[in-house]
Amino acid sequence: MNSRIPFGIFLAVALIQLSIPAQMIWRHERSLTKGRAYRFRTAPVDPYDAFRGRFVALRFEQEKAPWKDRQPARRGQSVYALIEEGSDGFAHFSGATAHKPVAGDYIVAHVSWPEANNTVHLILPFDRFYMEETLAPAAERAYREHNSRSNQNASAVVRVLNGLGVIENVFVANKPIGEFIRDAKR
Amino acid sequence: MVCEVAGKTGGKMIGQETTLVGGQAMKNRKYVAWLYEQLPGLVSEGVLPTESADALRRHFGEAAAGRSGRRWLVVLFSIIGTALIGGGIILLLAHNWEQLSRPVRATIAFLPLLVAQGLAAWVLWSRRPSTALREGVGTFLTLSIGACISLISQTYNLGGDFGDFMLTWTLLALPVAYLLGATVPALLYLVGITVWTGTVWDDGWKSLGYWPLLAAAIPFLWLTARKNRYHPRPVVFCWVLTLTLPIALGVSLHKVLNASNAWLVVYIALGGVLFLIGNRWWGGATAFWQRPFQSLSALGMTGCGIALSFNVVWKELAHPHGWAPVIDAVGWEWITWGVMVAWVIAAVALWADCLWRRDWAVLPMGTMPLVAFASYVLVETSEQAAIGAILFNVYLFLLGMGTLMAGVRERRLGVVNGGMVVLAALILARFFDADIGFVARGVAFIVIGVLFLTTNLGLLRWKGAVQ
Repeated sequence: MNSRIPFGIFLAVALIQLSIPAQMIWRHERSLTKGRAYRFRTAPVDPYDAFRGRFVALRFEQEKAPWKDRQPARRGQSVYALIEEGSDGFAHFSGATAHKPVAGDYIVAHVSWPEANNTVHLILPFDRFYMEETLAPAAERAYREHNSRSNQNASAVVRVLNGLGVIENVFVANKPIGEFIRDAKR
Repeated sequence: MVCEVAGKTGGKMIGQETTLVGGQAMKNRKYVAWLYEQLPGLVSEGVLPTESADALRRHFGEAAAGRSGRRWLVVLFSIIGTALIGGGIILLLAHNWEQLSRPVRATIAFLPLLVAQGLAAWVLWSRRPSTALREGVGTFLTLSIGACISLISQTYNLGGDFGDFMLTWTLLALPVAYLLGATVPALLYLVGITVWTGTVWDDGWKSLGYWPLLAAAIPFLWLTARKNRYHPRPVVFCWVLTLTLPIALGVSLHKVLNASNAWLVVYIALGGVLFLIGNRWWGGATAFWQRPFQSLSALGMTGCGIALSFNVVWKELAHPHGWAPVIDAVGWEWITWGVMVAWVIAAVALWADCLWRRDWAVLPMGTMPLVAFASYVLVETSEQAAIGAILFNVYLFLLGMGTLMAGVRERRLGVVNGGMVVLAALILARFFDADIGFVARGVAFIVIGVLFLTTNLGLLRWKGAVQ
């Protein structure tokens, strides 16, 4: 076989191998630079589940939405969760639907389980915040201390554009978590 | 030795027999060198056709080079070395250096991938035939793809959908296996699609995607096995395939397997297909490691067969209320049912092929899917669980005895032991079978024991072997 043929195929394959991660970067960069910022209140976490390796596992207080469609929602179904900013400055889901909304910000999420009263629980596509491995254990402690039921003072800022939500930062006591840890170390 | 080689190179058995010779010759390169010296003479004297001599040269090519062992050491070192470098890069990136900005991280993510692609391009362009180089570069490129996607996921705090990550990674790596002829990306692909199937097990029809994904890897096996099917590359692929296939089968078909209670029957069919394929195309394997299809399947089938020799298992298996509620509960997902039935049909077709070729040595074990399927149909139609258990007890006893006797006749200790294992497992299963009363078990054991001894003595006397 002519050696040029596999080489040509290889070039095409190499381009695909480069384009997939490049496209991941492009989509997420666009969300971070052009997306609208929403602040989500995080929920208390299972202390044994908060830190897995190098990231802080996040849970969100707002993880359910009223179901807008007539057709009942299915477990695992891909849906559009509509986001609104409440009077307290935190984001919440005003509804979820299987049809792409024409206006307003939304996040593509999956149905965790549908409730009987026309409410769906959502699996949000952002559930972790990566930290440098030396900072992560302290971050875990800080996040847990400020995310207990008595002291709920942690939140995450998520940038949203065209259904894609990207976590910009996690805040503890109104400070970015990295800065909070460095201040605490001093 | 002349007679041995000349005898074994003639006739239609050449493909299988040369492999037997190959196994010995690889241990001693001297013999191959000697054979090469003899070949021109054998051809000119008309003892051996030219094609057979060429086939022998092709077959022994690597061994004759006199570096077989060393060559494989180099290939292994190359794979391990590049895997260590690739793994090290992944670990360094996993530290998540806080000082690095997003653009810097993106650049770093692409660097190992670009280097690996450059190396692969050079190997392809310069048409380097070195297996070590191709396997090493293939491994490095595969790991670089994984590292690139992981670092981007880390930079943008992407959610934890491990299945999607594995699928993206393995799909991007599979072409590397074909283009470079590298085995590691193909093995990663087999593992990756199995992991992905596991993560989508409850997501509607998604897990059925395993089958077309698997089909994309099978030509790789054909390409690597085409020249020498006993070469470590296709054989390693077969090992990983034999280990991952049962997992993926169970996960992707769990709904219909649960509803039909046909887990054991379908697994025996899968084992039967692999066992018969193994014997059909890898029948000349000389070492245990060269026959994963046969060894692992026979082991799994015997386990499933022993389970089906219990009456209580068949009681659980039958559908006393008919099939309508079963189909109502699962829904008529014809593709899922079709894939399940396809395994049984494939096992029967391969069995028929085995019968057609009069491969008596393989037929006993190869018949198990047929016995399982027939018993299943009989139990379902008659609602008599005992029929299934009796059929399987008789079948396993005959299988064990047949294998044992074949082993003794052919003086093959491995086959004798195989027969002994089947018989011992069956005896143990019945000894502890609480469904049968102590007296009945005791009498049956004594009767079978006496029959066993008298038959053996009769056979020995008949052969005039009694001292």
